Amino acid sequence: MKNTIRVERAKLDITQGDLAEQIGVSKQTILSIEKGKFTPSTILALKMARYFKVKVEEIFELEPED
Amino acid sequence: MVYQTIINHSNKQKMKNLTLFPLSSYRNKIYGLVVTIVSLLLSFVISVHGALPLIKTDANNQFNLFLGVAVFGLFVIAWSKEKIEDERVGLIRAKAMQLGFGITVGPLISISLCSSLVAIKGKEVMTFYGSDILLFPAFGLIIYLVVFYVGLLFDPSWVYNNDTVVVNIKKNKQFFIIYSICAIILFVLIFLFHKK
Repeated sequence: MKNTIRVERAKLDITQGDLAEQIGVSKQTILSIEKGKFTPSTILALKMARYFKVKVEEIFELEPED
Repeated sequence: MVYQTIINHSNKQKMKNLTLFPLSSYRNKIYGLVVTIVSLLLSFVISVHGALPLIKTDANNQFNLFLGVAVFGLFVIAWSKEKIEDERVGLIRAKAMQLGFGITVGPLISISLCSSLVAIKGKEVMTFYGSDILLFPAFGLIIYLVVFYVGLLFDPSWVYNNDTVVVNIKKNKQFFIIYSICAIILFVLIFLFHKK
């Protein structure tokens, strides 16, 4: 799975720490998700989508191997 | 009928998070750390200078007592929350616990099997002292804590997937090197402590 969190963050001009604070996770978790090392739960994905005011599918995208 | 009732009532079902087990507060981790460090220091002092005058028993018993308290401190650290306990921390915790459990239970099974086999041959069955048995929880807890904090603090060395160990080692050599070094250090430390 790939994601566009870094792009969405850049649009709002916020840091990983800001995003982490807003959705109640650690900065390391955001870093891991951005790197594609960690797949977030549905709840976390929905929280991110709500924060960025977009649909979940606009942030997360399935890849052929998923 | 039940299915229809659910459909009629609402087409959205309430979902709950699956949690591992209840953990104590973050503050307990600090207490656990203090207890472990103080106990290890005292056991080191006893091993160098002999028995402390405060407790009326020999140096060996005192050493084992403080080592036991240090292991209890590790247990408190292992069962305490992190400052931010999110789902990534939960996943690392679960993986560390899986490894710690496997590494502790494996040798226990093999030792019990070996003792049974020795007994079948008509030889003397192995006997354990309290200090020997302490090694097993200590070993499991140390493995758990090392894997957990390496995963938590050295994020690039952690792989969050369901691939096999061999595939993960090939993908991430740093992962293999860090864990190998930690394992060697642990084995040496436990061996040295046990020799005392």
